[in-house]
Amino acid sequence: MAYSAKVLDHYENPRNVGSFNKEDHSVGTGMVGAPACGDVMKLQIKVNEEGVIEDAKFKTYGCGSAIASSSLLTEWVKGKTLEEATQIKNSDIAEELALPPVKIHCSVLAEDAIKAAIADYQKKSGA
Amino acid sequence: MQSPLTKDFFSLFGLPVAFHLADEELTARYREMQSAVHPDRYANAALQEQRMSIQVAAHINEAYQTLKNPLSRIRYILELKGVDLQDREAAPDPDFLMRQIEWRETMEEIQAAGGPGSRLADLVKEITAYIAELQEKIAGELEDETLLSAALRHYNELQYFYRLLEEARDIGDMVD
Repeated sequence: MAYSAKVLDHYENPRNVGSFNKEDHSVGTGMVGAPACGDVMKLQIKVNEEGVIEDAKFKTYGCGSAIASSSLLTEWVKGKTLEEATQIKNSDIAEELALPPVKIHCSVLAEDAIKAAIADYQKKSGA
Repeated sequence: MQSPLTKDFFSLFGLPVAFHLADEELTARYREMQSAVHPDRYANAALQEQRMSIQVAAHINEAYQTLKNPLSRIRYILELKGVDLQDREAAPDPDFLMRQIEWRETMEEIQAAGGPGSRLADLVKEITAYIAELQEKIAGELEDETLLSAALRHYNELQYFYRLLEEARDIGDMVD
């Protein structure tokens, strides 16, 4: 199956690969996986005092579409408030990357990852 | 007599529904059955019977492929027992996933350091041990109706380990 040009671009030049210290209170970490394909995705956000996502990093082991979905997502969430980031839908990612139907689950994984990262941050900052 | 097409894969081969099965027994039964329904035997039979033999042969093939592989065998037993494979409660927890990422990182380091060697061999040994341990747990859990959700969670974890093993072997193959 041929990947779209946008998927290839993110796959070959992934943005924001890396990690933050997950113990840091301004960091939210989302860990999600898709057992059926063995994919693992770690997505982290660094949130400032105004509740704006200042920076985002990811590490994904999976197919090109999963890497591209998480790479794109880290670009999108930077500068957004937590509330705005929650609004991002997997369908937005799938559309932007022109994912074929069999790869839609990769964009779902990315949406789950950002939701998990936000939930982790909120749990930490609330505690 | 019940049509072979509606029998579950285990009873098709006359085997009990369980994770542990004797490979030789499965393969022997498969060969017997496959030769009994081979379409060549029906070359002179009525069209109806010829079609039937092809269908049954395909069914036996599918059953054999499903039961031969440990992962698909577990999946099939879970389905037989009515377990919802998509149940999110059984998703691996973040710590497990974090550990998986660390394993992948180790694998990248090994690859960057030139591929196979004792480190890769140790890793494969370690992964294989995890697989054996998980499969043993799952075999027991599948026998107990109250432990099916645990079996599903371990099945989900097992898929990651098989994936790791596959990648470790790919690294090994590259230099061989």
